[in-house]
Amino acid sequence: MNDAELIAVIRNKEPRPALQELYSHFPKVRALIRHKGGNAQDAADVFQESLIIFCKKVSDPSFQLTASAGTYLYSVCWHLWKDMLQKRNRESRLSPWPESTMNVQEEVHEHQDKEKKFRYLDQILDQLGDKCKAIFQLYYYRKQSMDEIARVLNYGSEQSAKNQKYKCMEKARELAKAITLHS
Amino acid sequence: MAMRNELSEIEKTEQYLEGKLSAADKALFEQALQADPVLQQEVMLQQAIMDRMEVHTLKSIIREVHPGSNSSRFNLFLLFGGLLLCLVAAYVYYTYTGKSEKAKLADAPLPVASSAHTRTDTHTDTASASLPANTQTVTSRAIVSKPVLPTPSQASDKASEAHPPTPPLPPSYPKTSDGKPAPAS
Repeated sequence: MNDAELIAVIRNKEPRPALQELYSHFPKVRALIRHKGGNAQDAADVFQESLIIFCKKVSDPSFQLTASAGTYLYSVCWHLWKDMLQKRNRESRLSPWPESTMNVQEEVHEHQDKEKKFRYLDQILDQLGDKCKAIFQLYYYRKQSMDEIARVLNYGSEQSAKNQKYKCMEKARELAKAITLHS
Repeated sequence: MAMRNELSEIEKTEQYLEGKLSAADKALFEQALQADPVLQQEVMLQQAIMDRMEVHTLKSIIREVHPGSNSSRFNLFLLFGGLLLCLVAAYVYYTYTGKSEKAKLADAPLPVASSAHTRTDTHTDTASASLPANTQTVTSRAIVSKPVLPTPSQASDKASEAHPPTPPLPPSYPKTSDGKPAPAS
């Protein structure tokens, strides 16, 4: 799969084969992070974040990849790891990133701000039942129509699928409110 | 189809966020939004939940695709668990066989060093019991017990009686490395 094909499947919301393919760049990132004071878990976490940033960026139709996907991921990981080292109050052993090659600092920071703010929603979405997760994935992520979803998930009618979706949203909102009240 | 109030509010919110309300409905919704901070919060929360589905779905796919994912870790667990079980089984087996061999040795009617020692102890106990209990007991016990103990050479002699050395191998033909008689030269 070349980079254009990777981008196409990600835009099509069928990112699994692309993600599998992108893992071929993981060893290089792991080597970087191990060399710069991190362990295998740090490397896995950082690489996962970089994949999410890549997929989100690529989903924007106006986004243009100015280097190869591998270079993009490596540079995102470099910035993510630099930030993590700073957060752990450890002196960064990374030499400054050569600005000219690729500047992803802005999108890395934008992503990290969003993560900080919305990460708590993951546990809420995990708590929703499989029914809700399926509807939410198909509708909010894959952007399928409620008519299609009703057919795929065997709802009697589009309306009953919609009702289920709104009930799921109600539950998610309640769970989120409970969490923000307790924290 | 009639919906509960909460559900129809959620529906309205979704249609607003997706830009699907008519101009009139949109204006009404925004009016209500301006007047109601609670509604503002709820709209923002609903937007956040909708948006989060992308990252949440990507994360769950990545967890499955990642080389060290739970499923492959589970296989590693099985592998190491199996190995550990084999080791434990081997340990238990060898400990058991080792003990039973020791037990056989102890049962054997041969005065090996350990059984001789037991007899000595009994002897010294009787000896010390006949003596007045004083500070010398320990020394006297040591003196009494000494001659009873077989000397190391005696013990090893008796041990060698019990386990006679393997008789010298009968003279054999010169063997080749594969064990067959070498052809006569």
